[in-house]
Amino acid sequence: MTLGLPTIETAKRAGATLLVVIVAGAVMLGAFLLLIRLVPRHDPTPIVTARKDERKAADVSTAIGAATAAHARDSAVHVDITTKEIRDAFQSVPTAQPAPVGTAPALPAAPVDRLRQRINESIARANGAAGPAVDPD
Amino acid sequence: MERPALPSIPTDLTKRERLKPLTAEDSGQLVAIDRGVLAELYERLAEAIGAVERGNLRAGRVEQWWRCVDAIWQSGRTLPGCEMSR
Repeated sequence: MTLGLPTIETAKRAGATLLVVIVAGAVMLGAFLLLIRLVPRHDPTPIVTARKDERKAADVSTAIGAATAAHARDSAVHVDITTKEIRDAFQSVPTAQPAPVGTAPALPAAPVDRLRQRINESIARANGAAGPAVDPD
Repeated sequence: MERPALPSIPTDLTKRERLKPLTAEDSGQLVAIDRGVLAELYERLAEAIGAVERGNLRAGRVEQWWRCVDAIWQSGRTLPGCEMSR
């Protein structure tokens, strides 16, 4: 049993083995890269664009929803004002005077002229919210 | 790049309601009606008109919403009038 230094032959053999390993590794890496190149790569652009569009659509929806709510509140306020005016109009009508037996009581006139004007203003508002009239064709 | 589009909006979805104004002339034939009953009729009429106004408003907004989202889907651009609260 000798514990000598490695001979030249041994060193040569080790060098050759190392070279084979390196070459094999390079070939495998090349094959792997080629394979990756061949597989069709997924294009991220459509997804990115779709997400941007979704964001924009969400913003638009929020804005339109808020505008609708504001307009609805405005409409409700107008209805409140109108109903108050209706109550006031009826309260301002004098009470009918009791008539002698056998005759019809003199009835006060209902405030129909005043209220017709208010109601027609409200109707004009409602029709105005429908937008400009479109020719049916 | 190929882009999606919304289906066309059903026209019944955005149909508006139009009310006829009060136009009756005096007929000269009188009927008696209680003050409270007549006042209530007028109040409910005013509320119903307000409901029609809001319904018309919503129909218009649905249409606007569809136009705005469709434009974004088809072009990626936000149309003028879509972001601001008009």
